[in-house]
Amino acid sequence: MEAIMLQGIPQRTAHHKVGALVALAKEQNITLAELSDQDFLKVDPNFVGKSLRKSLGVQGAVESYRSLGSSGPEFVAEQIALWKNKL
Amino acid sequence: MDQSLARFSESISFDHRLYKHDIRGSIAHARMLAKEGILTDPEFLQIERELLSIQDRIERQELPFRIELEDIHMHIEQALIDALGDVGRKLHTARSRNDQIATDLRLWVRDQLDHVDELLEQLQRAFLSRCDLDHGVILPAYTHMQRAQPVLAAHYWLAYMEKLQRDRSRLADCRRRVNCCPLGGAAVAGTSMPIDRQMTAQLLGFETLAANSIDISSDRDFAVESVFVLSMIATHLSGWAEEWILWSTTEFGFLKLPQAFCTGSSIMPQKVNPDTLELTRGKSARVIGNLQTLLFRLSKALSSRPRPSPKGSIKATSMRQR
Repeated sequence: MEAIMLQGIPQRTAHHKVGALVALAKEQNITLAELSDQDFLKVDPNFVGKSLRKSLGVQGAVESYRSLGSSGPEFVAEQIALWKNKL
Repeated sequence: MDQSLARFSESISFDHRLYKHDIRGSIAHARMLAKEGILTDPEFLQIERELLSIQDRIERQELPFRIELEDIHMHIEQALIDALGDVGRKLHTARSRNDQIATDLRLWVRDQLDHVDELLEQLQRAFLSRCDLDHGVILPAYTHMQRAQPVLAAHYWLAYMEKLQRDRSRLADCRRRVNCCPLGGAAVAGTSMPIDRQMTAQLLGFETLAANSIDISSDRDFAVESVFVLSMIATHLSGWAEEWILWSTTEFGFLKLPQAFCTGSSIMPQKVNPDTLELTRGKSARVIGNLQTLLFRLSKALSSRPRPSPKGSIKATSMRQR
């Protein structure tokens, strides 16, 4: 969802559109990453499956976190280092 | 005294654990009395030597506890008098059991808080070491018990680091208020004897001196506060235990508990029960319950009999003192 928000779509709208994608995936009993390009375009003509797919899946999601205190790998690594230093 | 009353009012069965702190407090008190000329130096040395020997006897379980002697103070003082006669009788000068128990309890609580802090640090180290072991592992984070967002396992462990650090910070803060010396408050109004409260406070490692003798005789805030801090810790441990119990089920299967910390079922051979975690969760209930008990007891300090229950643990401010 945040991947399409980064394209300038408001969170409320993005939420709705991802909901539609989830419904399509559920219908076909597949994951979001497995949706066809056509499915993506069906929900929004601006959606390009290829660029959205890289933010799908747990690995991509975790790697995309970038706020302070988030589960983004670099922040977690930084916290681990801080604690090691502290204890 | 009627035997049933002796059984009802004794506290030695649990305050025996204050023996070391009672003796430490008494030695500091006697040293101060000697400096003030209330005891002679040889008398002080005799008292000190005998108190240390009593401590030794208690540790070797050679000093039998008797309910007729009520509490730990009386056991130690009686043993001292048995050994030294009138010199032993001089120890309890310019001191009441009221400020004595308050001192013992503060010294004991202070040690316990330090001990718990060490244990929490060990636990933090354990969580931190898991961060490296689980490098790159991704787990679901849940909200409303529904899969919410993927997170690094290390991020989970670091969440516990934060909780435990707040617990340690609360311990340190609470310790400052525990570390205030009540000795010299005497029964409730202070004493006309020339005592040096600064000296005993310093000898016992107290940071500050309690300023009001009336307050001293009834103040058990530090005990309640300590139990609150422990309750918060228990709450965190219980939440962690709960999470891991769930995660170790076949349905979740996120983690496998070491066999050494589990028990089997007597009737279902396939089962491995997370007993350690279940007991952690269960025992936390007792800690949290104790907080309620102490708060309630303290709130009744004036309206109830001045005798605390258990004796010496919460002392009421009252004209009727020992």
